[in-house]
Amino acid sequence: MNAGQQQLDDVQDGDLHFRVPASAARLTALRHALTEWAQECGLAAEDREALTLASYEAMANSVEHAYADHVEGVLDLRAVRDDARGQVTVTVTDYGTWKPPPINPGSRGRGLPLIRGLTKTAVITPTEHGTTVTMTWPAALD
Amino acid sequence: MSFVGADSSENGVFSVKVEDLHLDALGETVVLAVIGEVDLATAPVLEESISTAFAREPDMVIVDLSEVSFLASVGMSILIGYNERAGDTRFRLVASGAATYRPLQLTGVADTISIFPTRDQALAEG
Repeated sequence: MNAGQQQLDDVQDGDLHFRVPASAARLTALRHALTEWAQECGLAAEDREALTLASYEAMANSVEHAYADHVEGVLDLRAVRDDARGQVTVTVTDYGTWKPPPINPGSRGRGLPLIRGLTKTAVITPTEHGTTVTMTWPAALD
Repeated sequence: MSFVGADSSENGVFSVKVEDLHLDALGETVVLAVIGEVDLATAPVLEESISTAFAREPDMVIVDLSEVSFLASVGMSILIGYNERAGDTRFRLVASGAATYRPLQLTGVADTISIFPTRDQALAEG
């Protein structure tokens, strides 16, 4: 399965970096790759599921909102293990426009609360060039 | 019993098994057994299945998520949407475990929709 792994920059051995078109069809393979990666990192089952779901929600947010106006965007998914700090970090970056969640999202808009509930820390950084969601989990790394 | 909307792509097999029950205590009940991963790719199949179930105007619709291994918020939004529009039809979920019950709890869905750990329990309660 080729989910779009690219050697775009100095990806450390054991880390992941995918750059793919921001389309819903691409996200399933990325999610499966992340689950495998989290397993290789030795994350507990509950943390693996949290990492996979939160990362998926961040990517889904990019697909659904960031590129509403121009559909040709890409997203970057990076997963990094930090042995010194004993944590793993997943970042999802898009290059579209950050849409703040509506005050009354109705039946939608559960992605961000879900990300917050599933992460130790989650930071959303909107800039004029795009949005990065940075999420960390503690990990007893080998 | 019938199968609708089987989808096999990256998600492996995704399907919704539809079962009509005629129960003395609960009346006409449609049980939707969802199998696989609920995400942006498969959510339209889930939505279509629930929509079809409600269109029959049964007394109750049960969405059984016991065999769902991944539940994204797009799926939870569909469940919330149908719960709000359920009208006289009772709407129940079957879910337990980290893949489904935990996200339903974190998003507050568990506070608004009745969730049972097993299908038998969902069918047993009047």
